[in-house]
Amino acid sequence: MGKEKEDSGIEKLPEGCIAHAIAHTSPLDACRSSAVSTTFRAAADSDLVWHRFLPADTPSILSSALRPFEYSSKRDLFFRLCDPILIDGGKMSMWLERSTGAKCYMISARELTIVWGETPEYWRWISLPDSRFPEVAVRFPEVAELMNVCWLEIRGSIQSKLLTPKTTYAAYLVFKLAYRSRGLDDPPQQASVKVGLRSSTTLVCLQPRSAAARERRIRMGESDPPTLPLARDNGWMEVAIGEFYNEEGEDGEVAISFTEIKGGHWKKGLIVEGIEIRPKHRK
Amino acid sequence: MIKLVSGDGAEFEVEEEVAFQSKIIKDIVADADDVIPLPTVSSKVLIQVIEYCRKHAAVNSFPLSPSSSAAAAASSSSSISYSKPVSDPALRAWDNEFVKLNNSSLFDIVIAANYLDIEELVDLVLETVADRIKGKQAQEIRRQFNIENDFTPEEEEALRRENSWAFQNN
Repeated sequence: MGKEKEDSGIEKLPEGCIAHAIAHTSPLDACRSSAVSTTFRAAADSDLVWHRFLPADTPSILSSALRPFEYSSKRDLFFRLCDPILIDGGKMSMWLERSTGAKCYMISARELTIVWGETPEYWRWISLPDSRFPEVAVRFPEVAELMNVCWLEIRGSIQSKLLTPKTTYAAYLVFKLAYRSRGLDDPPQQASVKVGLRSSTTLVCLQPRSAAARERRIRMGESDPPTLPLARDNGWMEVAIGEFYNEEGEDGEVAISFTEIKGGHWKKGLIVEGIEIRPKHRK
Repeated sequence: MIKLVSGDGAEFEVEEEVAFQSKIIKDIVADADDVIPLPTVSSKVLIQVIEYCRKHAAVNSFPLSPSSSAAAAASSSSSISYSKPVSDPALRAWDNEFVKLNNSSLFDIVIAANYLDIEELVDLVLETVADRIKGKQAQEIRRQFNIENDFTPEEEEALRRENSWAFQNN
């Protein structure tokens, strides 16, 4: 293969063949193909191609969208779904990864199990400035702010069948720290992901300033220092909770937990937007 | 036996189960005679297509295993018809060898397979074409298939701007 100067005559293929071939690639390849020639663009933009890249359960995603929207083609629909939409009455948001079409979700704080979450001395529910723009409609109406607890426990789950098959995912806690946060650096928190019988547990640390404490731990020979958070847009941060491989999206569920119940000290100032689940690509 | 006649007049006698890998031939034989002229298919391409059909007829004559019929059921959820993935690893390996051809030969086969309605062969070849598109930039795809860029510079610029994310980092 790869004889570059042959007259291969791809233009003489029957109608639909180029689209059929492009449908075997990926959204990224299809976008690049659309810049090859006018024939390729017609094929690469066709419904046949983008139908294949949309999730099999697209009709049920659309029917659960909080705000229904119009679209002009399957390709248009695909790219609209690359921006998060609220689904299931605003309990979750959902979007597609642009380059692969893999499904991504964020489970809102309201849909998580937060121990003591309904006791106002311990947790309160607030709406942040960026949750109040209904026309943007990608933010959850409220987030959870930790007032004070010793027992910090947050759990969430998602059905495996909602996720794209044969895809490696990672789960992230999406959060902010309030001005006066406390007790979130040491001891570190435990994060775990469980799918069927397989589970992984890691230590994470929500306070970016504990980078120094982390280095101290490494110097002291600790092999597995806590994972630190990374900045996101709009002042939010995320910390990786764990990875898992989603096989064929069978009946099970992915159980995600974030806890600090060993230290026994008071913790405050954690603001939780939700738990995000998105594909993880190795570099 | 069924006799297939290529566009350049060569005759090929093949068993029914080989010829019936083509749905069109199956339909023709049902209400006509056993000599089938295929004026648009050259003997070179017909030899390759018969080779493919002979191999697949031999393997397909065994009943499907439960796992492969489950896979077929799973893949039928899409409304576009894609043939089921070939689950037999030996056949898959044979298919991979079969498609080690230059682009022009692949296109000749897909045109014939499309005309003869051999869905699995169409899919196999177009998957191979897809593999030659994957991971390439537009310019590399043009070189791969010797395609002329018929966009005006303005059209191409607009297209790249619209999908700028796909054209970053080369």
